[in-house]
Amino acid sequence: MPVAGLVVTLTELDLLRDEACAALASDARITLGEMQRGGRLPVVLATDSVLEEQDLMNDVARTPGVLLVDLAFHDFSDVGEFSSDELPQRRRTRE
Amino acid sequence: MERRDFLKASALATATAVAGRRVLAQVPPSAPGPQAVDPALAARVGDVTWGKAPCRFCGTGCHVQVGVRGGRVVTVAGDQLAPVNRGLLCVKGYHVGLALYGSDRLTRPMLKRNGRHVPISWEEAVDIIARRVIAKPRGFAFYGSGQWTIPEGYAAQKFMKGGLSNNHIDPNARLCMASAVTGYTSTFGVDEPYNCFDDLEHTDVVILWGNNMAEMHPVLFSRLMDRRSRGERVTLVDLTTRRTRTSAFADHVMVFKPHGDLALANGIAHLLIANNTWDRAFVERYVNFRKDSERPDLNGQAMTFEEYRRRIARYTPEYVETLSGVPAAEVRRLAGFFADRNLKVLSLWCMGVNQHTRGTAMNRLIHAVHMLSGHFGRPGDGPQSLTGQPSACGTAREVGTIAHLLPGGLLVANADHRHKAEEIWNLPAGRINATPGYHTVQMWKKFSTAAAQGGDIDTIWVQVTNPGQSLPNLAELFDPSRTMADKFLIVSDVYPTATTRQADLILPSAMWVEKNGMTGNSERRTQQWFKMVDPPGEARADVWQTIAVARRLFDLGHPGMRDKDGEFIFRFRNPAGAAVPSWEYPRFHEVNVDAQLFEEYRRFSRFKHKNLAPYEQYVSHRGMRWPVIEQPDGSWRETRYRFVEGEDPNVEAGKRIQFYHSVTHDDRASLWFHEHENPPEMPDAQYPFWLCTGRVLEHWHSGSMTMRVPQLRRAMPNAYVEVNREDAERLGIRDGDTITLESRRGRLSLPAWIDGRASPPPGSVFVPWFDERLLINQLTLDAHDPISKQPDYKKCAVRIVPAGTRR
Repeated sequence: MPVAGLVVTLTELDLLRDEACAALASDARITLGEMQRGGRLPVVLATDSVLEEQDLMNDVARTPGVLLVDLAFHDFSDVGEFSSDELPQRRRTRE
Repeated sequence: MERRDFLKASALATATAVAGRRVLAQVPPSAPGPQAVDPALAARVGDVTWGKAPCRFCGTGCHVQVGVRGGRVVTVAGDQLAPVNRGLLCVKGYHVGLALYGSDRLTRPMLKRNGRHVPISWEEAVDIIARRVIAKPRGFAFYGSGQWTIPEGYAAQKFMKGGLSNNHIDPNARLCMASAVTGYTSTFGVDEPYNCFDDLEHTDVVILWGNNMAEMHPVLFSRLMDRRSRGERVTLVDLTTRRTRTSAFADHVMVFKPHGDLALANGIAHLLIANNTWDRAFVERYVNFRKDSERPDLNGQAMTFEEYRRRIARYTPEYVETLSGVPAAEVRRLAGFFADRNLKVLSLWCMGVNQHTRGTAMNRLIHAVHMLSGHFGRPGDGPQSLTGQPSACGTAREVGTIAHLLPGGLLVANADHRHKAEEIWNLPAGRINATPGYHTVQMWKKFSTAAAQGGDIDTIWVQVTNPGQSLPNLAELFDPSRTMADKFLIVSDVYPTATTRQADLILPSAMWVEKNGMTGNSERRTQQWFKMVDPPGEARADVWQTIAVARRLFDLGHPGMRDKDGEFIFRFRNPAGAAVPSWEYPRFHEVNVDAQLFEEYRRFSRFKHKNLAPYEQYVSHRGMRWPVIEQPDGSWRETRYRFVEGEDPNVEAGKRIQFYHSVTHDDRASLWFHEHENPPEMPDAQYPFWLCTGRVLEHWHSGSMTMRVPQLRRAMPNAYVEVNREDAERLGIRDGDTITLESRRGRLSLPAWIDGRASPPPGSVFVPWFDERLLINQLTLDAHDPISKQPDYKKCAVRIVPAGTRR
C-alpha cells in the first residue's frame, strides 16, 4: 500500500483555489497539509496499490485550480515485485 | 502508531517541509559538505537505511534520498539538501526506485544459439568477447551513452584508446548533444555551459528555443514557476514548432516552421544592429566575427564586423516571417528583449536545436545573439544548453567517450594530447591511435554493411543504451547487420530491449544504486553515490564487465593490455597498498574501483581547466560544479560561472570576462554568422507532412526502464501520432483511428490523437519514440549535421494513410 507526499501548486484565484482544496479534501484517500506561501499545498496520497495511486495522482493533476504537481516522498515498502507485462516482440513495419 | 499512519505522517511532514520553507527560493547549504543522509528525513523515517544518489534519469541531476530495508529500495524522497531540486522530484524521479524491480530484469549472460538466447556462464561470455576482439582488434567498436557513469566511461575509454589503440568508441550522446559540443567548442574554444541553473532564480526573460521544458526538465521548470507563484515577474517565450505543455505557461508562443529557428536568430541580430541596440563595448572587447569555410568545419574563417553587418542586413522581420512563419511583429518583440540591457535574458535549449542538420550553426547563433546584445556573464543573463542523460556532460563530454576525444577535452589527433594521455596511463609512446574513430552513424553503417563492401566493423559492444530503437533510419543502420553471419552484437543492459532481442550475446547489468557511480549533469555538477543494494541474479556492474574483458585479453597475450612496465592497464590497491584482482568478481567489491579510476581520471581534468576535486569531496556533497579549486585553507571551491572575473579563478584580474580557451588565442569568443538554409528533406506533393519525433513526460528515452513502472506505463501505455484537428477533419481521421505514416524509408501504423497532448500546426504530425513496439525510427532520416554528425530526428517528410480502424 504505497504512500506518496506531493507538493501541489494551486492557482492564485481565491475561489478556484478554495474549490480545488475542497475537491481534494473530499477524497478519503487524500490528506491535505497546511497551505504554504505561494499556493503550495502538501498533499498525501494513501492507496491500496500503485495503479490506484497513479489514477489518484492523475485526478489530482486534473483538478481545476491545480497548476503543478511535484513529488517529495514515495514509500512502496510493502509493494512486492510487480509484474511488467511482457512486451510484444519487435514488429517489423518496413515493407 | 500503525506503520501506515507513521508513513503518512512522514510523507506529510516531508511535503510540508519542501513546500513550507519556500524551498525553491532558498539554496540549501552546500558548503561545508552536508551529510549524505538528510538528518530530518532520517529522524522521521528511521526504520530504513538512507543514502544519497542523483536520479537515474535525465540531465538535470536531481538528488534523491534513497531508503533501503531488507536489501531492497523501499522509499525515495526528494533531497532537500540538494541545490538542484531542493526536495522536489518529477514523476520519473519519483518512480526511480520502482524502476529497479520490474519482473523481467536480465539476470544471466545469454548467448544466441540456433536463433535462441541460452544462458551461459560469465567466464564463457567474457572469453567470447575477448576472442572476438583479439581476432580482429580494428573491427571492434564500443557504443555507450551518457548513462555510463564517469568511471564506467573512463574504463571503456582507456580500454579502447589506451589498450586496443582503437578509437571506434562513441556514445549515443552523439544523437542528443553533439551539436551543443561543437557549438560551444567553436564559440568559446572549450565545451560545456559557462553558466548554471542558478540563472533560473535571477533571470527576467526565458527564451525556450524548441525546448518543451515543462515535460523534459520539469523540476527546473518548477523552479521557474515557483518564482511566479511568489509574485515575481518572469517572462516566458516559447519558440516552438508545436504547442506543448510548456506553451500553456508561456507569455508568448511563437510557432515557427521547421528550420525557421536560424532565421529567427538572424532576425534578432539584424534588429540589434539596425536599431543600434547591440552592445558595442562587449563586442569590441570580447568577440571576433567568424563564418563558415567553403566546407563547413569546426574552425571556419574570420570575417569583419562590416561583412557581418552586410550579410545580416537582409534578415529583416518581414523576410524572417517568410522563412520562419513567425509574424514580423513577433520577431520585433523577440529582438526587443535582447535590446533591453536592463533585462536579464536566459536562453535554454535541448534536442530541438541539437537534433538538427544545422545544429552546430543554431548553437552558435544562440551564443551569437547573446554576445551581440551583451546578455552574457551576469547571473540569469546568458545562453545555456540542457542535456537529456544523467552523464552526457560528465561522461560523454568530459571523459570524452567520443570517437575523436581523449579524457579532459584532449584530442586524439593532437600529438601533444596523445603524449599527455600516454604519460598518465603509463603507456609506451605511440600507443594511442591518431585517427579519430567512427562516429555513431558511421559505426552502425559499417556494422550493417558486408565486409566485402567495406563494412569493416564486425563486433560492437553496446552498454547502457538501446540503439535498436534509438538510431535513425533503423532499416539501413541496424537491421541489415542482424542477417549477416559475421556481425556480432554484444549488449549489456538491465532489461530486455529492442536491441537485446537482436543481440548475439546479452550481459546482465547492475543498475543505479546496485553499483557505485558518479555522473555529471548539465551545469558541470559532478555527483557521486555508493552501492546500496545488490543487483539481481548474476547481473554485474558495467565497469566490472569492461575490466574483466580487458583482463582476459591480457591473459590471452594482447600487448595493448600491458602498460610500458608490462603491468595490466587496470590495477587496484586496497588501503594497505596490496594489489587486488578486481577482475575476479568475488573480489570486485573489496576496493572502491570507482574512486581509484576517478582519481586517475581527474589528472586529465586540469588540462582544459575543468578541474575536479578528490573523490571524497563528492561523497560529502550533492555535487560540485567544476572547475573545483583547492583553497588555501584546504577546502574546495566550486565555480558557478566560467570566464567571469570574481567567479572563475582562471580569469585574470581586471579582465571582467576572459575566454581563456579562445580559438583565436586572444581571449575572445567567436561570434558566428550562418545563413538560413532549407532542411535536406521537406514536405512535397508525395509526402506532404512534416514528421517531428520526441519524448513525453512519463517515459525516459526508449522506455526500457520507465515502461517497467506500472504507473508510468499506465499513464502513457503506447506511442501515438498527434494530428492537427484541421488535417484530421480534411482526411476523415477520428480520434483513436489507426492511421499509417509513410516516409521514403519506412511505414508505421499507430493510433491518431487529434491535437494530442500538444497541438501540431497544420501540415505536421508528432510521434514519441519511447515505444519499442511502434518504432518511429523506421521512418526518420539519418541526415546529420556536417560538423557534429548529429542526426535530425525533428523533421522529415511523411504522408498519412488513414486506415479507418478504431482502437
